[in-house]
Amino acid sequence: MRGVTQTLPAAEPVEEVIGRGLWTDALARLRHNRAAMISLIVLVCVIVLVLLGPSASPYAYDDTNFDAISLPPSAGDAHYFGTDTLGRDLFVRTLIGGRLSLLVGLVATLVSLVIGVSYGATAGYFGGRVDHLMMRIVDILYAMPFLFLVILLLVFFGRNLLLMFVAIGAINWLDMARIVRGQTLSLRRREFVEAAVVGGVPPFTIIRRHIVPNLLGIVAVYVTLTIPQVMLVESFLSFLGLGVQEPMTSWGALVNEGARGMETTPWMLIFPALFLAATLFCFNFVGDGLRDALDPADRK
Amino acid sequence: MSGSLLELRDVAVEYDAGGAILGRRRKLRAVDGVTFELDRGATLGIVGESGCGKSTLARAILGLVPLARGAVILNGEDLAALKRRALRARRKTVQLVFQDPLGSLDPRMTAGEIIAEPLGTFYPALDKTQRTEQVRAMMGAVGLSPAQFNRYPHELSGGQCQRIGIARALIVEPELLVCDEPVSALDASIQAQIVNLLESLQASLGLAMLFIAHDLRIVRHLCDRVMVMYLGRVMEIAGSAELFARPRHPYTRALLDASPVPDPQRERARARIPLAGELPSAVDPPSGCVFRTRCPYAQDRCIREVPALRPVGAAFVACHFTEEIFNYSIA
Amino acid sequence: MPVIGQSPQYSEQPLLEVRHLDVRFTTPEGEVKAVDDLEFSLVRGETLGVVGESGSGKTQVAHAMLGLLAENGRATGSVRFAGEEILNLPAKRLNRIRGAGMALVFQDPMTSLNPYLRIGPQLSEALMAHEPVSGRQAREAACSMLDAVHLAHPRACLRAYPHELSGGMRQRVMIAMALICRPRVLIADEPSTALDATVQARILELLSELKREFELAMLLITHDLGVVAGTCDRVLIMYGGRTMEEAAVDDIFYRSQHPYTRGLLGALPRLDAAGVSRMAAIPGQPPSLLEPQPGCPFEKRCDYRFEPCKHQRPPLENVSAGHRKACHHEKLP
Repeated sequence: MRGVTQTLPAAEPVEEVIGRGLWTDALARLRHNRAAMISLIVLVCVIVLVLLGPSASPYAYDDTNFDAISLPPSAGDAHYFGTDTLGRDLFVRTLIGGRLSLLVGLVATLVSLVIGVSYGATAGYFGGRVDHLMMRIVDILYAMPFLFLVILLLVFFGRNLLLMFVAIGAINWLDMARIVRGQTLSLRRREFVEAAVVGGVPPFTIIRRHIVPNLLGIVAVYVTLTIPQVMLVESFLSFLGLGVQEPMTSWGALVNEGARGMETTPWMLIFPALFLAATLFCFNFVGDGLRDALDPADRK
Repeated sequence: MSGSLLELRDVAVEYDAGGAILGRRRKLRAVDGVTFELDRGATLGIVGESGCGKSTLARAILGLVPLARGAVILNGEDLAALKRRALRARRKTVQLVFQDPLGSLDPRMTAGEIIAEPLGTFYPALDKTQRTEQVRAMMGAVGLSPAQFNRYPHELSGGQCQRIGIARALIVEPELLVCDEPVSALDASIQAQIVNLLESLQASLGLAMLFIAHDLRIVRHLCDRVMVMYLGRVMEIAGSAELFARPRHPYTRALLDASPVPDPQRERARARIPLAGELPSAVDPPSGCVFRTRCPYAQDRCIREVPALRPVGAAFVACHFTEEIFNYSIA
Repeated sequence: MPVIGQSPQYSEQPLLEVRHLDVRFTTPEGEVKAVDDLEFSLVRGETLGVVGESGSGKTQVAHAMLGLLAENGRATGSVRFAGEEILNLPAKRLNRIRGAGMALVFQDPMTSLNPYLRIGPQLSEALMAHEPVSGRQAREAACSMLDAVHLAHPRACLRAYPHELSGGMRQRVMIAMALICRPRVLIADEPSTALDATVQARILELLSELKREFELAMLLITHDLGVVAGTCDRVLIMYGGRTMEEAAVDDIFYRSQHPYTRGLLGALPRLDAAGVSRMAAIPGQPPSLLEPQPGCPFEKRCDYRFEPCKHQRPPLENVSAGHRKACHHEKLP
């Protein structure tokens, strides 16, 4: 293109290589983390079981059978986890409930992720007055007793799944926005962002191309920790009887039912609680593992 | 006037130094009253220690920080008068090479993507193959192998990262390259590589260059003229050979004195006049001459009167007593 | 038996003697040998400059000697301080030697001072940890030590927090802290790199002065040959974890027999050179410790390389008394 003299010996020619991105590196490190890997495997098993398990059982989640009320677990009649007080198969109900719990976790987290990241990154990048205004709005929203509000809404409008997703997501995006804003504030001062400004890149393109991808690490960690948090909120609401509508169920609702007959029919509590606890554990371990894997201080 | 590429007129830059809520705002004047011109193809070194405002000055020239006073005039156009969009288009003329080779590259982009980015914003008409071709040509010009096109910054050495930074700056064919301490984070053997690269690129492309450094030794290799700054103000501007042979400001002299000489016998024989005291705060700078608190020759007049930058022989010096202190035969 | 590499004017028992020192790190990518068969000695009143670029292993030498290696690091070989083996000692016994025997000055004075403590307590704490002195005595000692490093108002400094001091003042505090237990060896790891030129010159001058005053032996670790010229008696040049050349400072600067040392000298920007010429750069990139070379680590970048350099490791041989080099060439032109 121009008369640039080649003044320096280039490095020895090597064949075209595909670079190893930071994510590839992080995943390699994650693979060395035994707790996180086991958790990941367990999570995948749970998800597969939840998705495919119900169709492998001869029973449906809302089939009542008054001849088989409160049966203990047995493999003979395919009631692997026993039945509940209405004779419904607990194995199928646990898995169907798992679908709902995981769905709430994922959807609500996704809602909080999209709102939180774009809101936080915008506030952090522009800084100054924009940042002040946007973060004061967050502060005001923080001050509202959200759980109380959710309960009121659910009581007022009746139990509505969509409402619950949105309500829970709306609590969590505030945290996300704060975390993302803080990270953006420090990213914005990095030289590569300045380099993009000098390179004539418009502000929103800088946010999309340089800020958000560099936030993904911390966001990924936060997401894995938010999912279980949201699932707990759902369980709590269900425990209060404000969650899903019968005969649909969730782990929280099942635990609630099971807790009532804890002395006589312990299996009704143990199985859903086991699933819930294991899933929460695994998400937390994966989150911790991700955090360690992405920690730049560890890079050597 | 019309001949110069860049002109700075009495430029000052201020930062808030806190105290915004309670009490009055305190201003930190990072750059104060800097005036100079730079011709096409000329090289100017800006030298000073940390806190002297040299990096802030570079950012002011690039329009990255607002001016408190004065004007930056590029090709006859006052940058402050331009609208944001026009300013963004004008950015092509001036490009920046950063100090931290790794930190100035987005860790999640490959070398090729990083170099291509300004091409995409300034020449949106180019298609992908044309762009890739130009990036590869540029990589060759800065001594990177085309095989490194898909490498990520953390896979490359500091010297290679700095070459990427230089390629990114040069690919839009700027007229002025501002280098903010481009080699101070590099190893000695790599420093010389990058300095030589900049030197030959500057010559072959006819670039004007502002080279900011704290190391006088490197500036001497690269620049026609040198400007010495202290606490936001210009102490001395002179031709490179002149400045190093006959420093006319006590601060320039102290800087030269402090620079280690890689020669044990001369180093042993050398008598140094060490600079006493500490750098004063820029929030509350000394009255008169800002250097007076550390100057071995300071007198009453230095407390009362701010010395103007005035021609002394072949140089411009901001010192009341340069003739008395340095009695060079001024021809 | 005379100690190898020792200048003839020093004939007494070495204070510090390092032999066959290896430092290895276990990383996910494999084992890395950061220091490879290092050998040197240091006598009282002597300053040895250890010069190398990033990745040369120079900092790991200091860390290994003081038992400060990172968790995944392992040191083997021998480090004798005043005749006593100190490598890999348990922390408790090493603590006695750290401070009172050998002290370290770090590169970055800000990160090695506790930002929430005033300077005074930090200094006297360092002394009281090693010696049975009262608080008052420790404070007095701290004050006189700050005076010794030429801090303008030692009493005011004792009450200051680290962030209230400038970079140069903090480095002086760090030097005072290193010297307060009266060590016999001072290891300075890039003590002036983070500082401005005028401050750097004063810190180096201070170190030389204190060395005479306290009769210290000093190990100055740096990447800048220019710094070495004015401060060191002997110089050890490291590259890729190995010693390339070791000699008296004049031999290094005027009679170097190693291509790498010559390359470094050529690459130095100089103020004293007549006329402005191109700098002589060393081509290529620094070596990757992950892919060690069977031969000379500098082989790929060396202008003088020939067949044996690729496969055979050059031994460290005497050029003359007190001058050793690791290069296959008998004599460089």
